[in-house]
Amino acid sequence: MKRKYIILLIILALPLLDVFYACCNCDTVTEEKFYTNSGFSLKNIDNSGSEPLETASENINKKAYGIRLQVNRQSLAFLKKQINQPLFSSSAYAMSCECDPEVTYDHTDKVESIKIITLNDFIADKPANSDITDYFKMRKLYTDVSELVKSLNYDFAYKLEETEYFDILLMVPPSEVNVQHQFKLIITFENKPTVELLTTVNLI
Amino acid sequence: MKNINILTCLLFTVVFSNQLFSQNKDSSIYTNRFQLKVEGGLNMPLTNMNQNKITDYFVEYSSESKFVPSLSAIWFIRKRFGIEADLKFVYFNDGRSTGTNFQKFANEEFGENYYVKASSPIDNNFIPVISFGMVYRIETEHFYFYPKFSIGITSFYSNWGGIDLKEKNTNNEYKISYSQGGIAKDNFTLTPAVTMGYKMSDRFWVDLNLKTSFFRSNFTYEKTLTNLYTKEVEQVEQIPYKENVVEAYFSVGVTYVLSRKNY
Repeated sequence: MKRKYIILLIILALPLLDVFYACCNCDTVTEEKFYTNSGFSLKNIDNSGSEPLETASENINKKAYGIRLQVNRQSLAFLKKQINQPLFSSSAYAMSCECDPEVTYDHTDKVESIKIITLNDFIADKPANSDITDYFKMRKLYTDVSELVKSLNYDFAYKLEETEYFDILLMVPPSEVNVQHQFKLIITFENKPTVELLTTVNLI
Repeated sequence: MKNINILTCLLFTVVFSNQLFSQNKDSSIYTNRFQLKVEGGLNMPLTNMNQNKITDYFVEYSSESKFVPSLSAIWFIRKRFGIEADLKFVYFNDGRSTGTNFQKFANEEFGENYYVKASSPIDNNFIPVISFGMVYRIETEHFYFYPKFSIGITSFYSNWGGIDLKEKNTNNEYKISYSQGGIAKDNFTLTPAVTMGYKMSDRFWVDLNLKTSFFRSNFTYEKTLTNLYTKEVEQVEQIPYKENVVEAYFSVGVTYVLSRKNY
């Protein structure tokens, strides 16, 4: 009879053992790396279809025009090791198993602002060299272009996304008067020279 | 393996319960005290809650005739009266086709001017319906007739639905949303029924059953059209589902008499 109870207790205790065994063995060291936005490029996109497509065509439907900003990122040399020392135990219990990432990539060059300037007359009250940033919106969420600053200053965990692109859609089409357009995208940094990118298109 | 275990248990019950519960009885009229029944048959909706609108695709409740099994137990507390517990295995297995039809419907409705992407978490579903009620019995030596009345809950999910619209040749996108309060709907259900059957032996009876169930659906879908650029909600429509839903369940059952008593 006694033996039966012992066997029953062992069977019942198995799930508990599993809980204790499931404690996560977190690495105590987080490598803190840094990255730089090493390159930017600008391309025209045609959003007439279901998804925006890069195009080399000179003429694009003005109601479906957008620009694609491609960002290349480069990891810099390893700079810092952060040791995470838990207070009492070297492992967290399964209930609160949230380990710090083994590696993080923090930005080094901080983007301050992004502006889009039209180099040609756009509409009546937006002549050449006017700031028309507000006429562009980020694709999908239709947020302001200023939201892009957050993406360019993003600190990555685990893996650095080395190439990323952002689609910026023109939501206010230009007047009929002028078909040829040039847009200048200006990215200003806190600690780096300003980057200026140019694109040319006929908006029909 | 699981099926073998179930069969073994059933066999055990059949073989040994005779010894456990049997009494010396000459007549089988009004002596049945506790009985179990397995039945299966066609569940036919006589009226349904469909509105012939796009929101019909989001309701996980079958409006088609289907084969449905059920289990029940009756305990006779008096010579003529008993109480019954019934478990009906209702299911909805049209999740995939409904999802496809929703996309097709959305394409037909908006496809001329927009690229259309329809989405809804609609899926196959299995919801046991439990009901409890009263049974009156009329019996002869070989035949029996049980009028019954029970109450229960009929549950189903009424999901949200969404259609993403990308306007052709422009940068504009819209979102059509269909939603209504909580997804799970529990409906108070009334079930009058009759069972008539033949006593094949003291323990095994076979019968025909007719159950009608009634509940009233009571929820309203709200349709909103949002311009994702301007964030304006451009149109609102309400689609009420307030219908009397009546179903008929024709089934054949096998009853096993577990326990007997002289009343």
